[in-house]
Amino acid sequence: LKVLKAKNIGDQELVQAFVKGDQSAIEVLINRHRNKVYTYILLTIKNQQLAEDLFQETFIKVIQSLRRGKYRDNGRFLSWVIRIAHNLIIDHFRKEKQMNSISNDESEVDLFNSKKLADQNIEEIIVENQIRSELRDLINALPDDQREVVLLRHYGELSFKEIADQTDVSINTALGRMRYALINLRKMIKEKDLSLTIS
Amino acid sequence: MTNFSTLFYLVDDTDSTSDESEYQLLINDNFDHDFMNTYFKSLVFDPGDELVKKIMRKAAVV
Repeated sequence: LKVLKAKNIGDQELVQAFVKGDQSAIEVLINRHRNKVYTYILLTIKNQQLAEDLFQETFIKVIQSLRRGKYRDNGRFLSWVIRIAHNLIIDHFRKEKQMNSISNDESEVDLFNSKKLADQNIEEIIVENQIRSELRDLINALPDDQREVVLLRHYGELSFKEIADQTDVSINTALGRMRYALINLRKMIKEKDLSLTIS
Repeated sequence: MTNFSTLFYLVDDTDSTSDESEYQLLINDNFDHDFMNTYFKSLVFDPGDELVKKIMRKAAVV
């Protein structure tokens, strides 16, 4: 697939192209969704090295599942990938039995690994870095169940029914968690008088 | 009745098997629709090209 052409191709067509043997199609899909998937994993587990490992595992599993014909395309490729990532994260914590032992101290991220950032001047990088740090603190301050819903909704673009199914709760519970998360986030932003947008 | 109690009355009284769009409307009625996009749009991390290359190398042998 030529790059220009690939940009105009939908996820569904790229999945079909990959299943038919076009290896470049999956690379286009990964690059298209990599930031959302990686951010979801990183904000969930708060550990960069682990996030990188699980990011790789997620897409390896995606590739294996596609090759085995396990993906029923309903136009929700990103949500499907996020659900795989979510399951791998749960599996990891179950195996390690250390859900509460991951330290936030290990969560520093290489802020210069982005081409976008590399193109900015140092002042802009510092401001963005500060804002992202404050945003991460807000997300981390949420109770686990609320953070889970927010991340699945915002980065995975899951519907509330999908979130309910994925987290094994009712839709009302998922909605309630989202509501309280937004209340808490607004409260924290107000209390800290944060300015979280880049002018 | 406050917005708060109204929301939960409606949510609790709604058939959970019905169309989810009803719930979405309830959420949007009570919160800025763009709240997350406004504040968290910039909270995105890039795993980098090298990680994608690793996946592609692994994919070739699995």
